Amino acid sequence: MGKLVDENEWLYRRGYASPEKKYMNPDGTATSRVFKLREKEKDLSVDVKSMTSPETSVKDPQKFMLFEIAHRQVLDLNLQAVHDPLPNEHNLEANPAHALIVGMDPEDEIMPGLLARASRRVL
Amino acid sequence: MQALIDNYTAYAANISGSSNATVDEAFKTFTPVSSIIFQFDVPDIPYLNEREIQLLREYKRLEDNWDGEEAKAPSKRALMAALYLVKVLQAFGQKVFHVAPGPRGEILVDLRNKNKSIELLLYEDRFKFVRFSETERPEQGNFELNMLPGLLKWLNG
Repeated sequence: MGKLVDENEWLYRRGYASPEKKYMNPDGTATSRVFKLREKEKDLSVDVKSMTSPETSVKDPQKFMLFEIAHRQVLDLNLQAVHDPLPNEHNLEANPAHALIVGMDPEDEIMPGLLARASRRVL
Repeated sequence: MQALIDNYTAYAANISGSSNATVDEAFKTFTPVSSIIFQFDVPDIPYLNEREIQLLREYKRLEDNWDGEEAKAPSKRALMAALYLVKVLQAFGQKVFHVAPGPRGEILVDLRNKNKSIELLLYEDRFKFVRFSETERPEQGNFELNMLPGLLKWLNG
């Protein structure tokens, strides 16, 4: 497991929001589905805020919204974020800011809702 | 009395404005649907959840990888159940805050009232609910349609 992200860090998580951004809540906040593990995921992909920029993290602002959550709040939920820098391979760009929120249970529906409610929109 | 309750079909009668076949199929999705007694007067607000109904119809067109990050296409059963549920809620005057597709083919039906919210997660093979409140610990469990009156009572209480 990677090194623990500093507890004072903030984390970015992007969510698909195109077209017309109707996959997000009507008030622009994230739905719990933004923080739900995909079938192939064991941990939740995020970016460490201090190591990137909102524009880099969101990649395509026409298709995605960007949300941020304090790592301290993640820790308060008994989860934790660890560094997981992505190398440049498999046709993917390198992403040194990449991290994982570990400790989530795919069957748990409470945690995605709590993470969404603790997040706020950046882009 | 039990037989009367078990044969109670107020939902289907109240929401049969659209295709009866679709309603019947959706109704079966929630089986067993029995012993359901709503404690609410039914206001007539036919377009209360029209936006959400329209969104669900649009979500039917989503295919695998609809978000470019390998999300599964919404399950047909989940969509049918969500559409039925939103219409039931409309018939009982309950505004739906939002509906949204999830990465595992599920549909989220989100209900809110002040500092409380209920998320209904409709998957292909199971339905779940989560209650969120600022003053209580979140609670989750399996969802069946006959739990709806109690959940709405908690939400609006």
